[in-house]
Amino acid sequence: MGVAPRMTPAERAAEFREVFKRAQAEVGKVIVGNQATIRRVLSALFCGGHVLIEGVPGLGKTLMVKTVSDALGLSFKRIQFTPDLMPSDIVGTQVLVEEDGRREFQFKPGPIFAHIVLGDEINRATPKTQSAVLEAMEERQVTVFGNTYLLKPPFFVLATQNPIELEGTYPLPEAQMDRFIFKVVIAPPKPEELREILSRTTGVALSQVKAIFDPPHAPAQVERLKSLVREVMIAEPLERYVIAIVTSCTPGSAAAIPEATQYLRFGPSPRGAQALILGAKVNALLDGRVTVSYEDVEDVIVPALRHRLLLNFQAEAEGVSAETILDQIVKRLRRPRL
Amino acid sequence: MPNPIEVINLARQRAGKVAALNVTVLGSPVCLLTAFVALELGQRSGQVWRRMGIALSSTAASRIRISLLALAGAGLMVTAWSSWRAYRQARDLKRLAARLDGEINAHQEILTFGEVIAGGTEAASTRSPLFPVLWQRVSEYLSSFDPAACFRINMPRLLARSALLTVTWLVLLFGSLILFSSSQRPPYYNEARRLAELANEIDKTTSSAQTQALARRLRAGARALLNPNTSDKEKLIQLTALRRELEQAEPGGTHAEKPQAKAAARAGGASAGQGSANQRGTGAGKQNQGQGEGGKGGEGRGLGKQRSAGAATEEQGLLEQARNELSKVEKQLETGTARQPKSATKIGDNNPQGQQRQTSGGQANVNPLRPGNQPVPAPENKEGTGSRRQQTARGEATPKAGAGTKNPGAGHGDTRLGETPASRAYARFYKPGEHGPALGIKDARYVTVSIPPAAEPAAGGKIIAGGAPSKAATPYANLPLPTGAVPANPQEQQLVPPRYRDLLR
Repeated sequence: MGVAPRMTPAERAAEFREVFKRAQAEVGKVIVGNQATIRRVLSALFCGGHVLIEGVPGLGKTLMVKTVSDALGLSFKRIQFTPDLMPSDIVGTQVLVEEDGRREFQFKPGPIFAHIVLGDEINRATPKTQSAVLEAMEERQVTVFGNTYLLKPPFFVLATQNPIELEGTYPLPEAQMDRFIFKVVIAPPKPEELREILSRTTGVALSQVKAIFDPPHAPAQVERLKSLVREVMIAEPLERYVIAIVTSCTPGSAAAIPEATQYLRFGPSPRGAQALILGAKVNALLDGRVTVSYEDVEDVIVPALRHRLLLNFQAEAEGVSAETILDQIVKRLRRPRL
Repeated sequence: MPNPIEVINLARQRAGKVAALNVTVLGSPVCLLTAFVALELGQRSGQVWRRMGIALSSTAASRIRISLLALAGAGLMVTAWSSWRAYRQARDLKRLAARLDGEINAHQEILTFGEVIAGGTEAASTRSPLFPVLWQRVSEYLSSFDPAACFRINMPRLLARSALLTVTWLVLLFGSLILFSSSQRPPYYNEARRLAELANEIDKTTSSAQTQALARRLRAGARALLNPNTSDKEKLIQLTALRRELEQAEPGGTHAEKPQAKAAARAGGASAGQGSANQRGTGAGKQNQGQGEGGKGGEGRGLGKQRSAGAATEEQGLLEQARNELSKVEKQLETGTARQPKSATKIGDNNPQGQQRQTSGGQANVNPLRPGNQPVPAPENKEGTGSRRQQTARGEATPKAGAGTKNPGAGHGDTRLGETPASRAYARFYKPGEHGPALGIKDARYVTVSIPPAAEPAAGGKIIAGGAPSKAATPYANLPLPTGAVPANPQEQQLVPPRYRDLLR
């Protein structure tokens, strides 16, 4: 798909749906099952956010990210986070280059300079190294030796996190967790999915992903679709609904539900509300609408807020998860009446 | 494809009208009913008074009328304001859009559309580039939308709700009015009620048109007596004229000349025993029969009627009673000593008159200054048969002051001058050794208590007052213990813990 001519708004909305579905289908050629996760990852990409993927090893987290980049025709880099990984290993460094008898320092970009960056097992790197990713994730730029280098859009970080083998890891600080728009959890495959995985990976014929966009034009196309998401309209009562969701899981606020007060130390930041609305906008576009509905918002509550709730000791002692509290919120919330 | 803004505007108008109509239909009947009750208060109060014995003074009725009219007016204003408010709210674009969303299941697209177009042309420049898509989708949604079908006027349901509200209000209103009327009795209420009661009885008793006209005038007099807007002087004039009419209708006009009538009159107000005494004076032998049948004083008037010579005599008795009542009221009007009724009573409840049921034979209740109210001749008040116990074990007799003996208080004047007591079931007392349900002696003027005689000793034994004090069955001695039994050394001291020292001190 090349650069599109001037299209009507309806055509743009239709194009978004088509691209999204094609991308989902292409990724589905490689990744068996986990369609909801794929959809969430693609949604985050078009929202302009980053995704934290959590799952035990071997569930295809890395493969999924690689396939997404292949499907969209975007550049892809992978960083394996280890305790000895240095920030310069990520953002790049100045190297001394001799050229025509002259020596000078040249900036050698690190793997962060890609459209889609996979930070594998991000919690294994030291906080210093993790913080190097923070600036890139939020500011879309890196600073090396006083020079700031802009990252080319689209810039999309997918970090994976292993919930087991936590010895020697550095749990992501809350500030960094907050910068991921969604946290998705990859579920282990079901037996029939596992059989499909075996047949795809152990046979002769391997699935080939076909890029939707021409690689030279892919970034621009993706950016165009990202701008479309921002154009989706949302009514004021729905904004109030989003605010009610966020405040109801903020302990100490008047609207907090009892579970939030009992089990949470901190609630979501305003980024949580932004994530809710952006995710809902993508949902609306995928549903053929250009306005957000209550169902769109409710669909993204768990992935957008689960990693933003900081549980207290009592919750951990009683085995209460963030998802449990969010389920309670969804049950108790009342849509605003005019 | 219809213009969605036009459709929404049509829906707004329709929704506004329906909402206003709903509020109007719901609230107006209550207000109109209140106004109707206020206007009909004077007309209906007479019927209520006749049927239920509850009357409002004119002042109170007037105040209630004004209050109810004001309430109705305020209610109408509130209803009008509420209708207007409902109209405005229903026409609110965002509210209506949200409502349409719910009706059409448009996933908040109409709501968003309504919000965008509510911004007007000023916000047009900031509209999303996707607005045309929204317009198209909303147009599709509203293409088959019929505002009249969506915002229907469900008149049966509306009327049912209105009727329910109205009936509830009516019940509350009448309940309040009755309670208020019961608690607010005008002066001369009891007297007027008594006159009305007599008028009704005369109506029932007589068949002559002249007497019925008299009864009507008596009723009118009773009503005039209750009218607080009429001065006492006017009332006195009216009642005097009425009494004279009654006297003219009753040839003879005095008790002495009409002993049967007097007997009937007294029988209606006094106890059965006294009625018996009166009848005995005239030689009516039926009286003893009635007495033997039970002597229920509460039915004294009815018994008097039954025992009277006939309807004419009964009519005469009623007329005399009415005249006596009038005389009493005249006296009160002259002296200006109108008594407020103490408790809320109804017609048929003879409690005020019943308070005098145990006075001596109605003599004290007759105004001796009025014609026809001369004292009963002395033989009537003297002991008639010598064994005139008015009640016995089965309702035969109860010793009653003034029944067989002369009332000692009869000659000392009476504050209830001219009031003819209405007999009622006086309390029946038990004989010694007789048991039964508790007797109500509330409001009794006095109670006769018979002290039982001393118990006869059985089998020729001897009764000793008091008795020997009880004694312990086990012998005991209050002697000190021997000294050697105390092992403690008297010199030994036990230190008191600090926390107990304050306590001991």
